[in-house]
Parts: sequence; structure tokens; C-alpha cells
Amino acid sequence: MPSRRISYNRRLFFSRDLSWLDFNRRVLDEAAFERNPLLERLKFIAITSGNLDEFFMVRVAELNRLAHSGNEADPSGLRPSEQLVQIREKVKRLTRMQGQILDDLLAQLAEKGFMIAHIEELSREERTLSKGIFRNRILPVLTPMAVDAAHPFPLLNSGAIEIALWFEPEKGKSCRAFVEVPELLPRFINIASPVPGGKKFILLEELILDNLETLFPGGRILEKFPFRITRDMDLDFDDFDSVNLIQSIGDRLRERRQRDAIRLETPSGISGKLFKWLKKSLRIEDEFCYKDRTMLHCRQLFDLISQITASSLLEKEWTPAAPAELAGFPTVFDAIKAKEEIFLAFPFQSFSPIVRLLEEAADDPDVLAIKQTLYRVSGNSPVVKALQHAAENGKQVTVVLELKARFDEYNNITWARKLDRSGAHVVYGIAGLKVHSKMLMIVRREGERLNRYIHLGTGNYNDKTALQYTDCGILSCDPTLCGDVANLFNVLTGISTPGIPLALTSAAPFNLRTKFEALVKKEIEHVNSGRPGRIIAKMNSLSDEKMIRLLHLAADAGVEIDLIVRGICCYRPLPEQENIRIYSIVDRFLEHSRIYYFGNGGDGEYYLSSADWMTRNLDHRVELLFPVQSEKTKDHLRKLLEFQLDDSYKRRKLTSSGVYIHSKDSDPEKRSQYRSWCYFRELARQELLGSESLLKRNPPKSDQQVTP
Amino acid sequence: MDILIRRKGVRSVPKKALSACAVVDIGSHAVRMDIGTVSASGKLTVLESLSRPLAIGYDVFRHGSISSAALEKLVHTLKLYREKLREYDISRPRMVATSALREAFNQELASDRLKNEVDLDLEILESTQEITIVYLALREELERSGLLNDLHAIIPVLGAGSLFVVYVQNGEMRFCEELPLGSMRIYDTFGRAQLPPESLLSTLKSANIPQRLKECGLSESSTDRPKLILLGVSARNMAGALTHDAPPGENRIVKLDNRKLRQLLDKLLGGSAYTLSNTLDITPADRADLELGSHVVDYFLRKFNCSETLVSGITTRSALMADSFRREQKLRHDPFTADLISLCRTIGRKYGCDANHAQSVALMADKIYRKLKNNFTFPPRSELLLAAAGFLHDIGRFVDVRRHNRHSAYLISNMQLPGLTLAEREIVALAARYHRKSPPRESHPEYMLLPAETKVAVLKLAAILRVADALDSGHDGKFSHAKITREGDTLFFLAENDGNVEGERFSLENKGELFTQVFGLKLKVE
Repeated sequence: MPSRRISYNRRLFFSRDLSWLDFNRRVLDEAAFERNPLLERLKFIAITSGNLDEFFMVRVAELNRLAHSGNEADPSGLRPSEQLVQIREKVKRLTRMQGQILDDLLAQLAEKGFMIAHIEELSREERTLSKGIFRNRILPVLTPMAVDAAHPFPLLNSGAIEIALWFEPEKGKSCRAFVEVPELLPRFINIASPVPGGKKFILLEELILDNLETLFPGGRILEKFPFRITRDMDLDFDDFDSVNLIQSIGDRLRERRQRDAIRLETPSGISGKLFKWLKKSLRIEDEFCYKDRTMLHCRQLFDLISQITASSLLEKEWTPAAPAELAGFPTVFDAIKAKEEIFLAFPFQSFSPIVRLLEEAADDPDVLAIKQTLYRVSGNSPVVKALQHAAENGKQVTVVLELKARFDEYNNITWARKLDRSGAHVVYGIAGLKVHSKMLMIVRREGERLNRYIHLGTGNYNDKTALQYTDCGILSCDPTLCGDVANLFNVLTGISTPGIPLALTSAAPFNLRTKFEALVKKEIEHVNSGRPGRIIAKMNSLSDEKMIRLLHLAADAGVEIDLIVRGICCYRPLPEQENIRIYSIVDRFLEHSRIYYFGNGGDGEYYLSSADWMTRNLDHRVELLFPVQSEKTKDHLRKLLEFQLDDSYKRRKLTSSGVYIHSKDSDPEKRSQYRSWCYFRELARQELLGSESLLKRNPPKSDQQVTP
Repeated sequence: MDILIRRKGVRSVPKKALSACAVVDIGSHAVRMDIGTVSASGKLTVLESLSRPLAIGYDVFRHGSISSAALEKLVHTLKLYREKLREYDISRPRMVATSALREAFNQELASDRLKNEVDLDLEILESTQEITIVYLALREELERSGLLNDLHAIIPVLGAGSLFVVYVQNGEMRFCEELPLGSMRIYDTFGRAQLPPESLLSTLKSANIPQRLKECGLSESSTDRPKLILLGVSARNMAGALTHDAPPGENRIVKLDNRKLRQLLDKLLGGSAYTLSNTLDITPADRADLELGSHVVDYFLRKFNCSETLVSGITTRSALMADSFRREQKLRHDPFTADLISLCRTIGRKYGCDANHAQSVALMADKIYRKLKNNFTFPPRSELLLAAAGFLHDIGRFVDVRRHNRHSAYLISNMQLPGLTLAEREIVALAARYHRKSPPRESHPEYMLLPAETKVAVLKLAAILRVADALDSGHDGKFSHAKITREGDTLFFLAENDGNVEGERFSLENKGELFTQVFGLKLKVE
């Protein structure tokens, strides 16, 4: 029975977008964390900045729209207009803090011989050198855009640094103009080496500002400053015609360049006439203007980091281990057939088995068909190459490509066309639904039998992000699981309609929500019947209202719950709910795997999924939840969860006030990502040595022992 | 080994697995395709199940033909399926149409377009073929589960177009009838007439099934209460709802708790089909099935006080796949023989036939056939046709002893007889027609309109049946264990016991002429 307090929304929920900002704050905390190497800390600044850009492009834009159309409160009771006010406050605090940390980091970096100098700090020789660089390398690619009676206000690119200036020619009327700082050029220009092995950089926009007279000769520049706008970049694909999806997306992307500006960033202290004119021209209100003390576009710090060759300032590389279960088998097919289920955890383990599997399939004369979902693929993706190769070899290759993966649309269109040309059957999923499930299936004739091999995972088939995101999945040849995947592919390719029952898996938007609800309710029933109830759920975000209400019921009923939620968490743990603990881990790898464990009265069930507990995942996307069947895989997952729940180094706990707090007894030995990497490395080592496996020597703890 | 002992299909070659096969089922509200494999032991594994909604049934049940729009969609769907088949390297799937297209007057057009545009051959299943295929698959499954021996069960099979009712006693089919009470047909008809689904009950009542099953041996007072075995999507969904699991798959039989089933039915009949269907995440078409299915199940549970309820996961497609597997095995004897004989016996009893005589004739006909089959060509499945004709040749006596052969032919032509196609049933009817009196003449249109090869088939079977009937003209089974030998152009029948066989000799002289004409063999009784 729902308890009475359930109706008090504010007590049960945090606002989704404020929670997201808290997540970004946790990322920034990593930049402030002194035990992190210097360049790693700088990376976290860049990530925070990039995250914030996307937040404005998507969420603030959406809230702004909602504020002007209904302004209905979210489950936490906050109206969009109220959220926008709080967001502004939080963002200001965040950027202020970011500036302070960055200053500190840059000072430390200067001590190491890597400094960013202002133009006026350059020596005469350096200044001369900089002018030469400007003339030879920068000037040719600059395009000044004047605004006057003959030239309307230009289309300014979202995210790019622009320079605004007010120019008074010797003759004629003064005019305003813009110069875009080209993103193709390095943002940080190495101008000198102050110490052996060190580097001195200047910012590209400063160099352009210093040489504006070259662009506008014979006059006077009255005002000038750099700025950056962020536009509403959220695309609504719901009304797209699926037949012409690729064309529609192309059109909509072009249209996106013209969308409203949602943020204007300038350096602090800018307030003159030129600024007012700019604000007016962009039709942007004061509350969307941010004047930062720090440099603009901190995401480009990645460019700086790539130019600093000092491995001592970076964390040691954690080389992905070769999956132990594949060792000794000539092909991945052989390994899957022998082991039935093989667990892969990236980036602790290598992504190469996926690529190998595809490459083997492409050349294997017995392989008849390959099907795969692709959401975000890397540039020059080996996955796509293998699929192309397979198609060219006459395999039936079907790729369900999600064109609508946000900010990857252009990239995906390019791949779609390439795959299509190679003879693959490229399908763009179901109209109105993003295909977010991660599935790969290969049909292979083996003698008289037709066998199928699958990989199901929590992350994208992207070899680059597989080195940065923690994801996991299984390789399997279980016929029932394969049957489910085949049926789901048929729905995605439009060859069959939903309604064919799935035996082991659950899929959104069909039955995933009911499955999750049933699993939680079952734990409540166990508790009500006197048995222990247990839930451990690891996901990226938790924001679905119904799931949160259900979790409150489960917590009230006495189910022991551990939630490991990296990002948004709208569940507000109540002070009296001592049996629910909510953690967030932010570390060098982006926590991305979705692992769900349900105690099931002692017979624990593990599931992996592409879905978070967000409404969009449960209702508006194609997602997959699949059970883990092999005891060995369950052991691996148990270990991973155990490491995370035991992490006192990078784990923060969410309190009922919404604050995330670090563990008091921070212990680097308990850093979960490092322990996970060691665990898989040790497994690989044991396999190489041919001795007994680690698991055999150290039998995993029982389900109940997982509880910290 | 006579036909009464050869109850199951005997293989002439070792079993061979079907590595990949596909079955396309063009039904009343969807076009479905299963791709699967069948192991050497007959275990079916469905690799993929596809379904695309296409309400051909609405066109056909209302207007009698498939509309142009539906036909276009059908062609489009099958083109997609054709592509799918390439993934499994399957070039010739088995494509069948059931109740909807079966009743469409323009079915030939559909068949032709599919042949030309998709290069697929369409097999339009007759209702008796459909139920036979489903029943055989179920029987195999029951056998594998150890449930077939002495099985006593009522099996309602609810489809979109029809409701089949099958009654099995001692493991053999005793009754099978198709009622035009499929869920789509009922919804459409009742919907247009603005009748509630409960009106189904009056239609079901009018079929008078309890009385007819009584005639087939179902005893009301018996302690051996029949089991209720349910097939069809509604039954599978009920099983899913009761077991909180996915509906049973093709190789599974699930036992339901009758008490829980009763509670579920009460809920469904109380109008919660819609709510339940949301929980089960099923399509609107399946919801209609579920609603009507609950009425049907409720009716049978109440009416026959069934001891237990089983749900089989067999679908038309999985049954067809099993059928394709049987075809591949080149069975020496038809696996439906035992059930057909059982049905024919029940029908004979219903019409007051001399059961011993019918059996003697059927056995003798079988013996003669086996003696001749290596030297003469016979139509396919002659063994089965002769058995049916042997057991049913005298049922016309129920109408009138005079000209009873004509009455037998009429009754056979117009009864539902699973295991035989319409054409085969016609051969059986005409064989019975010519088991006595005049052989075929020019003045017999039902014979004259047959294709040439069918005429020959009728003549061969009728000739054998006449001889078999003549040899038991005294209805005393004198030749039940007779030996048949052939010397030159003469066939000798040697009665086991020394007795007076004059009557039979006389009868044979009268009725054997057709045999001599057809096979060129003289007949002698010793």
C-alpha cells in the first residue's frame, strides 16, 4: 500500500536538471582532487565544460520552451521557470569554481614548465614570432563578417568562439563586425619553450584580437571582445517520416544552425555598447548571459593536454586485459561455443574480441548473416569496416543504425551511406523511437545446424569509447536468448511487428517497464513474506517518476537497496530510509554499465541492460534487458558490484539534502575502477599461466555478502 | 502386419534432421513466418518468429474475397520475408494459407500473384488438413511427454477463422469438427449485429457438442473425466498469465491449476480482458482471441467437468514444421492411420454399421492392396483411402438398405473427415459408391467429371473394395485370416478354416468383374 507521504513530491524527488548539475559538480570535484595527476585534473575541467555545453544545448533549451508553454511543475514540484532560476545560480557557482580550479591548475602547470601566457606577457621576440604565426597560419583562414545596412546579422555557429568588434573607418559610418575563431586551428599555440622540455602557449583568440588591425586596416577599433553562444540544439524527431529519415535529419541539422541562442558567454567585465547591441541582436535575456572570469570554451583544454608530452602528469595507462575465456581458442566462435557465455567488461578488458568476431564472420564462408545495432560509432570505426567487408563478401548484413544519436547525426549519416554502398541493408529503426539497444547477432551454418552467436551489451559498439567508458556485455550462443534477439531485430527492421513474445529478455518500449516493475515488486513481496529483499541497481541516471515511487515503496517495505547512479538521480533518500543507499562514482573512466541485481529470495538474478531508469529509456526508446545465465558471469558481476559498493575513494553517497558526500576513510586501495582492472588483469594472467583461475582460488562471496 | 497394428508411421530410412526450414502461415489477421530446425529426434527449434498484421479475414468473412489493398500488402510482406529467408539460405519455404484465404473466392488470384511476384508456391490448407497437421504435432508432443497412452481428452482449438473441437479416447481421435466460430469471424459478425461476445455461447450450444460426444463414447457418469487440452493463442496467453511466465513455446505442455484457471476465467468473463491484455502486453487481435477464448474454455470446463487442463505451445506454424519433417522422413505408413480408423469406426457405430464386417472388409482390402502394390500403380495414400472406404462403405444403410452404396457416398462426401483432403474424400466416397451394384457409367456425373487419373484411382480402390466386401458377404469373417497368393494371372484366396465358402464364391463372381477388368487378374476362392 502506498504510504501517505508519497503524495509529497518534494520529499521524494530531486529535480532532474539540478541533479544533473550536481553530477557535473562531482566531475569538477575530480579536477579539484589533489591526488589526481595534474593533466587528469585538467581533463575533468574540459569534461565539465563540455558537459555544460550539452546541458545548455539540450536541457536548458527544453526548459526554456516548457517555461513558455504551460510551465508545469516536475515531480519535485519545481516549475521550469523556477528550475531555470536555480540552474543559473548553480551554473554561476560551478563556473566560478571551475575558474578557480583552472587558475590553480594552470599555475601548477606553469611550475612544471607549461604555461599559458597572455599576449602582453610575451617578450618582444615572442611577440614578433606571434605576429608571424598570425600572418602565415591564421590570417588566411579568417573571414571577417561586417554587419551594416548591406550585411545582415550573420549566422553565428553554436559553440564556436567569436570575436565581436566595433570598427570606425577613416571615412564613412562605424560598423560592427565578427570574426570567428576557427575550430580547425589549434586553440593553444605553442610560441616558445621557456625551459627545456617545457612549452609556452598563447590562446588563439588572444592572438587574433592582438592582430585585428590587420583584418580591419585604416580605421579604429572602438570595442572588441571574444564571446561564445550556445544554441538550442535539441532535435525533435518524433514527427519524422521514417522513409525519408536520412533526408529529414540532414535538413533538420542545417536548420539547427539557425535555432535560438540559449547562452551567451563573455569574459568578465564586458558591458559596453557593443555587448548590449550583441545581446539585443541575439534576442537573449540577461539571465542567459554568463560573464566568466576564466577562459572560454574550456572543453578545448583537451587540445592543450594533447600538446603536453609529460606522462608523469597523467595517470598510468591501464592496458585492457585480454579476456581470459577466449584464450586458447582459434576463433571467437569456438570460444563462445565451448563456454556458452563469455563476459566482457570494457575498458578493463579489450574491445578487440568484438572486432575480431566481426572480422572472422566477414571472412567465414559458413557465416550467412550479421545483424547489428549501431548508435555511436567512432571515426574510422573497425566495426563498420568489418561490416562493410562482410557485405562485400556476400553476407546478409543488416545494420540498424540510429541516425538520431544526439550530436552524432552527421557522423552516422556518413556511415549509413558507406554501409549502404557496400551492399549492407541499412535500416534506420522505428520512426519516433531511438534504437538504443546494443545487439550483435551472427548466423552461421555448422554442418547440418544453423547456429547463432550474439553479443549483448550496455555500451555502444565504439572502439574509442570502449577505452573510456565502463561497459559490459556477454557473448552467447544460447538458442533462447538468440531467438529473442532475432525477434527483436525483426521488429527493428520492420519485417515483423511487436507482439512476438520474448522468452528471456525484455524490451522497451514494449515490456521493459513492466518487467522492471515486476522485479521490484517481487522483492517487496519477499519482504512482506518474511524473506530478505535485495536490489542493487547500477545505472547512469534515475529519473523515471514511476520507478522512483516504486523504489520508495520498496524502501518503505524494508527491501535492502543499493543504487549506484553515476549521473542524474531524482530519488531523494528520506532520512528514515536507512535501508536504501545511493552512491555515485566518478573516476577516470565514465561509469556507463547498467547492472541490475535482484535478490529473488536467495536465488539472485543478474540483468544487464542498455536502459537507465529514465522515462525516455523505458517508454520512448528501443532498449534491451537481458538476464545473465552463467554462474561465471554472475561471479564477475558480483565482483564488480562488490568493488563499487566497497569503494571509499571515488564513491560519493547521496544524502537526503541532495548533497553528495565522500567517505570519511578514503582509501586508494579501495578504488573500484582500479580493483576491477586488477581483477580482470589477474584473470588474464592466471589464464596465461594456465593455473587455476582466480575465481577457483577465491570463491566469490554469497549474494548477501555483497551488501556492504 | 495389418492396418490395425500399423498405428504409427514407420520409417523406411533413418531419421534425418531438417537443418533449416521455414513455414509461412497466411492467417486471418496476420502473416506469420517461423524459421526453425528439426533435430533427428523430431525436436523442433524455432529460430525466428515473424509476424505482420494483415486482416485478410475481415475482407473474406465479410465480402468473400481478399481486397486489392490486402493483396498488395500480402505481396509486400512476403517480399520482406523472402529477403529474410536469404539470411538462412532457405530458398523454398512452405507457405500455407488457412481459413481466411481458404474461403476467399479469389484465392487463385492471390496464389498466382505470389508465384509470379515472390516466386513462392502457396498451399491452401483445407480445414481437415489443418486440424490433422495440428493434431499430429500435438500427439507427438503428448507422446514425448508420456501423456498419449489411454489419453481421454477434449481439445478445442480456437483460431481466428474457426473453432475445431477434437475428442480423443484411449489415445485415438473419435470426433473432430470445425465450427465457424473463430474469434475474428465472431467479432466481425457479432460486432455488426451488435451482439455481445457471450452470444457465442448460444452458437456453441446449438452445435450440441455434449450429445455428439456422447455418441462417440463419452460417458457422463464415467469416473474417467476427460482432460481439457487447449491450443491457440488465447490458451497460451492464459497459461502465461497463470504461470507469470512467457506463454509456453512450441515444445512445451503446461498444466494449469484448474482452481486458478477458474479465477482467471471469472476475471476475464467479468470484463477484465482489456486490463489483463495490458499486463500481458498482447496485441488487440490477441485480446479478441483471449476474450472469446475465455468463453470457449469456460464452456468446455463447465460442460464436461474436465479433470485437468493442459495448454500446448503448438502453433499452426510449428505443426507445419513438424509436418514438413515427417514428409522428409518418407514414412512407409501414414501416421494418421490409427486415428482415421478410430474416427471411421466411431462414425460407423454412429450409423449402426456391422463393426466386424466393416473391419473384415477393411483388413481384406488392405491385404489385397499390399499384394498388388508392387505390380500396379496406386494413388498416393491408397492404404489410408482403402481403410476409410472399408470402414465406411456401409454407413449408407442407416438411410436405407436399398441403394445404401449411394447413401454411403453422399454421407462420406459431406462429412468432416480429418486426415483426408477433399479430393481424397471424394475418392473414398466413390469407392464406397461402387463397392456394390453397377460400376461407373457414363450416366454418373460425379464420376465422369473427375480427372482421368482420379477415375483410375476410384476404379482400382472400388475394385479392391468389391472383392473384400464379397469375401465377407456372410458378415462372418470367414476370410479374416485368409491367405492370398498369386499364380500367373490368378489371385487365390485361401480361407483358413474348411467351411462352406459358396456364398462368398458366388458373391465374388458377381462383384469381381471390375477387379479383373482393372488389374487383369482372375479371382478364385479355395
